[in-house]
Amino acid sequence: MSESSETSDGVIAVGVASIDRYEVGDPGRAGREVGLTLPAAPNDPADTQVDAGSAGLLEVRAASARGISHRHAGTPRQDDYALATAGDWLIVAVADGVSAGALSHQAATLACRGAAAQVKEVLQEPEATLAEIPWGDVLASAARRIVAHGLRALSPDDQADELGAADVARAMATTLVVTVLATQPSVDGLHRGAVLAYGDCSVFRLVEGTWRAVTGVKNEGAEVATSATAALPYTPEEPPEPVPLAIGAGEAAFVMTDGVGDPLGSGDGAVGDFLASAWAAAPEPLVFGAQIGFARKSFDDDRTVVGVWAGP
Amino acid sequence: MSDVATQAKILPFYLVVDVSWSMSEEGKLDAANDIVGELTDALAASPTVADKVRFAVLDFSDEAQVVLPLCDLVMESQPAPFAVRGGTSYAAAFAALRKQIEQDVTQLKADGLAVHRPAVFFLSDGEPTDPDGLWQQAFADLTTYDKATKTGFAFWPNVIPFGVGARPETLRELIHPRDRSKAYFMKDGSNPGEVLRQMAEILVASTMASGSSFGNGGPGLVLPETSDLDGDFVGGTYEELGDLL
Repeated sequence: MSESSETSDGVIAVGVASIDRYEVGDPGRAGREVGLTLPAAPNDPADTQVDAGSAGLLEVRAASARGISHRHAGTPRQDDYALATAGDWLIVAVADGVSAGALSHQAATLACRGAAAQVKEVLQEPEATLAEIPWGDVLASAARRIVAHGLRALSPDDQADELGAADVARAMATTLVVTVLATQPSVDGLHRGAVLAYGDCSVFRLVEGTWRAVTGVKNEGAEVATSATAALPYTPEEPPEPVPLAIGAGEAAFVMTDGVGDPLGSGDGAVGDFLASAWAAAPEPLVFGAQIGFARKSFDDDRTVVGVWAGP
Repeated sequence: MSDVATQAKILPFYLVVDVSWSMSEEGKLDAANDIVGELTDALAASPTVADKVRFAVLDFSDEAQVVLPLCDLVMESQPAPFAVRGGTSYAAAFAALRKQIEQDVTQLKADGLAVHRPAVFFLSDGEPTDPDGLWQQAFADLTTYDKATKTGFAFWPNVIPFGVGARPETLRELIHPRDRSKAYFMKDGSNPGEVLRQMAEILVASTMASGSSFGNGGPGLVLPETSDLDGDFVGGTYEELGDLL
């Protein structure tokens, strides 16, 4: 990554000179035939969004890209992510709008930004700990924001009292996963944190080239596969239980939507091999953005991954 | 950890067509013969859906047969036209379907494909000629599964019946599952061939909508809202049709 080359008078390409398009196995007809498309409306979200930076000893890459299906249909990206830091904490929220709702991209944005902001507010208090995060209220607040926005969006002329949460849920629904990780290691060398996943977003660790699921793997043991998922603004009946997360130096954690989670599966297939090798270390930001968009037949959903690498 | 399929997502559809003698009347068989071509054209124009959808075609009269094994329609040559023969054994159709779906899904899963719940488009113009109770039992064998005890048919399909002359009361019993799937049947006094052409549009639209939604976290089966229907037929869920009949 560090080589540089002089391309013409006074112009020097530092690091990668070009960004490849990636294919894993058969890209399918869609991968070969569907090209890039412009946004259909001026206020649609960007086709692809990339962020990068460091927080303490953590190196962060984040990218969200429209899937081939939404590019082909000219409809907006329904995935989104939000990042924040508070004291010695990194906060990552990822949301996947449910395709059946025409406004689900707005639900995804509201959910991940609101959740990241709420967790940040708690953790920026001095001496704050993970135990103080009100996880149930994080989901409930996101649901309330979605319903309030949905009622306004669906009924601009103040007829909202004729509509209910169920009407909003049909028009806009989203999964949400929130991950919090310490930016500095504990005395045992581990960055510790917690994950709250609602719906089919997932979190993996990458340890010495091997994928390890932190959250449940979708469709594991299922007789037929399903894409049905729990989604906000409906909230779980039981209070949600966060799962612990810890990565050591040289390890990484990845928070992702099912656009990447489905083809990754348990991580032991071709996609797992490709990404384990590509993400052995934090890539150039725009390269990371290209890598999450790998073409693979039938996997045409929006793609979002936030990768966090623990430095030495 | 290794039983999660990551090769590709697949949504299998089964088109099942009644070829009893009466189908040769009033343009019904001609309309049925055009369906596969219309589906193929729609899939050829939509590479994202075509990558995920597979179709098989069966016909049935006194017995049932596979006319076109499960395939990517765009890659296959068109099947031979339907030809009429004999009576109307729903039992034969459901038994053949169960056997074929079991065989197909088992093979696809062994190939590492993430197989989503199959859907059956069932087209008939008449009442079953089976002895009473026989077709009901065959339908139960096709659609019943108890997850807790793992008894029955784990790969049970969504069933969407289309009727051009069959009794609505009978067709309604073939909606599965009753709260999500729908039946469509001809209004009295309409032209069956014409109605079947209109129904084919629903079938193609549903295939395309289901095929584009299931990969994006949407439901595996998308059928038009009943209020959007416009034609010489009516349609609805089990409950909606109950109010109508």
